[in-house]
Amino acid sequence: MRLSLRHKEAVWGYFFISPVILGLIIFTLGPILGALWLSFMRWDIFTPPKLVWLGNFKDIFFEDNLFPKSLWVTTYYVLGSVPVRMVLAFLLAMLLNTGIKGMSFFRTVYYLPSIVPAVANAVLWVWIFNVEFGLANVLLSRLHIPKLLWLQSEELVIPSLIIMSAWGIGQPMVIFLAGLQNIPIQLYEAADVDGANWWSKFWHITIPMMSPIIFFNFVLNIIYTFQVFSAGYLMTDGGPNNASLFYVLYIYRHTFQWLELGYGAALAWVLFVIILVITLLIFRYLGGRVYYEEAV
Amino acid sequence: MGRFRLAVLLLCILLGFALIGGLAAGVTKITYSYWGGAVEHDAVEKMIQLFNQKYPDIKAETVYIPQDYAIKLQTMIAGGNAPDVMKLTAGEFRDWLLRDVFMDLTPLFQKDPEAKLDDFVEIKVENFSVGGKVYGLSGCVEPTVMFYNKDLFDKAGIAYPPADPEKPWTWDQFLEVAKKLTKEEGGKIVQWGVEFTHEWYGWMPMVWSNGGDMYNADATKMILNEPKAVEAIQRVADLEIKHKVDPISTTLQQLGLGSDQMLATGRVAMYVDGQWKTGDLAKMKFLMGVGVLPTMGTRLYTAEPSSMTGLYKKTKYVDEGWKLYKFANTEPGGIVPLCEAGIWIPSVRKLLYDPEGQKLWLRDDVHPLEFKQAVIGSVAYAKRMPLTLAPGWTKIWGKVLQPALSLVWLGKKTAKEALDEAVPEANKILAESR
Repeated sequence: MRLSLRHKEAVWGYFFISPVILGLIIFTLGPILGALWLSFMRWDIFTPPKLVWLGNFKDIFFEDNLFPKSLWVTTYYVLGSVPVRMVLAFLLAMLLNTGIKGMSFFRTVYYLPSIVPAVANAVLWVWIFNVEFGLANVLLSRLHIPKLLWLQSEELVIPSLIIMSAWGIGQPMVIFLAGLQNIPIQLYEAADVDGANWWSKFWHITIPMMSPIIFFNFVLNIIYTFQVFSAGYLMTDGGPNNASLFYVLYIYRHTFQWLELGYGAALAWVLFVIILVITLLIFRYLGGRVYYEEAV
Repeated sequence: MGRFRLAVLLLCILLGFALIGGLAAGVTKITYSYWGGAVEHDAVEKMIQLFNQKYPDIKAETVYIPQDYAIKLQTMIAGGNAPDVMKLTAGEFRDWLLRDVFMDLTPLFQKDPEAKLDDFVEIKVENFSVGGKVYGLSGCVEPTVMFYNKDLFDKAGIAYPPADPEKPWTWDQFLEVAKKLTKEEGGKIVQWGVEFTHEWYGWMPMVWSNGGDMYNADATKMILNEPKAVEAIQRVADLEIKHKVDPISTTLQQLGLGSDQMLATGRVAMYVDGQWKTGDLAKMKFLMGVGVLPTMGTRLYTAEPSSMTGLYKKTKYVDEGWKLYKFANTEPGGIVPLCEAGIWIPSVRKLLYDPEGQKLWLRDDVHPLEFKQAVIGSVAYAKRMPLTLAPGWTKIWGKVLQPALSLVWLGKKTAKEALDEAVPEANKILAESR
């Protein structure tokens, strides 16, 4: 049988994307469905899984006092970290876009922290937040403000980690910057001719033109931030008194430390549904406000 | 294409020969899994080399898992690839034993003319015995001790902490010295008397010497909320909260922040932790001393939180595995490098107590003068660790006890308040874990 050129191309197309598709099916979709199956089980790896139907979910919602706690801790972190990082990243991108000299240098400098390995990052910030000798408290003492128990008090641990997260804004910043550079210059020129000031240019040109990118960054950041793990795992071990027990860290503990793989899988699916619902809500209520340039 | 086929053919032939060769020589392959730092890695690899030289008909291989050890080991066991000999932490031991991972070693010791359980110090055997059966041992014991900076004591004209396990400081004596060694300058503390670890092996010896315990006699209930235990824990917390002779540094020690450096640089005068810290401290430039823990009662108690090595219950090669097991836990070649680095002290009596044995590993530039009396002497005063008395420890500690105690160390709750809340929760997990 001879294939037409179009079919041939299609076959080759599928062939070339097959590594990604297969990878997705085998290494992502497979485990996701596997986890769903596991979430109805009680399993400690050593002995065969036992079917408990919705037992794990019942425990999560009605028995486990650390489930609401870890969910709240994570939500609190998301509510703080995402806006802070979005705004800072956007402001930085605007600054870099003013055509200053050495833009690529500054872009690199601000991007650099996001490629620092998580462990190195954690060690650095543990030092900064050290109660007795850390940079943060040394600076405060210069201002005659008493020492703060950054990572060791229940009230401050999440705000401290939010401050830390602002350090890794390189990624959204670069995306914002690329977006800013894509706004057609004629729009600003036309606004200048009309006598628009800085603010109206920002509000009526920059923001609408950037809205797809802001939206993209926002959604991605929310999804990504809900899965925060390394800060709690490496720096605070979830403490003090579980005040930084991030949801994924809690999954990790049940799954890998306490031999409760089924329970961990159930927790993971609950998080999946939560993130899904939040994402859908964002699309429903904010998606309509995004301005997509019409193809001419 | 032709060349490629030839290469494949050659490869197959080679593999075939290798396979036949292996079978013909009757070499049995066994595996040994472990974690640890660079020193431990080198020592274990060396030990395995020595083993393979001694037993040409066995080929031992190592599985070195420096991170996420338990997770990877679980996966190997689930996948039918369990190592024949494996190390495990004390906290996980009982949960794994419950799942039939470890072989009872007692009959193997009884049959063996060379190795006896009596070759090991009592506490080592006791720590991993359940119902009169021994499931694990290892080459080391690790008592909790008290390091100190001699310069700070000399400057203040205070006598060093006692090294004689028969004459430990009382808590009041200890507290008084800690107060004297705490210095303030311009309203800021520049030197602390002590840094007391918040790990269980730090405060449990105090609970014991005060007459309390973690579990009841048959380890079916946690009793840390009883007055004696509560009092001991509160006193340890008060070093930071009430007396301010101990800096707040709590959970961050795992990142290597602080304690060792604070002692070495003279910001802290005494430092309570496990003896394995000797090696790190010896590398720092200061005059290190070591003494026994203080007591809240009349005699010294210490803890011994070391890990274990077990033999996989379903191993196909019991004889070979047993040979490796004995070798790994008694052969000086595998133990000495770790001991002379100041990370281990041997659990084999001959190496620990006999002067000839001690010569193999005690080093003047690592082990301070008082080491023999204070650290080796402390071993006999170690009480069985509660972690191996009942299953569920990792969950009890991670989910309940550590969070509750973290509030006590910060002074947000009293030991009584925190433990009254935590202990019933812990008992729930304890009941479910069986």
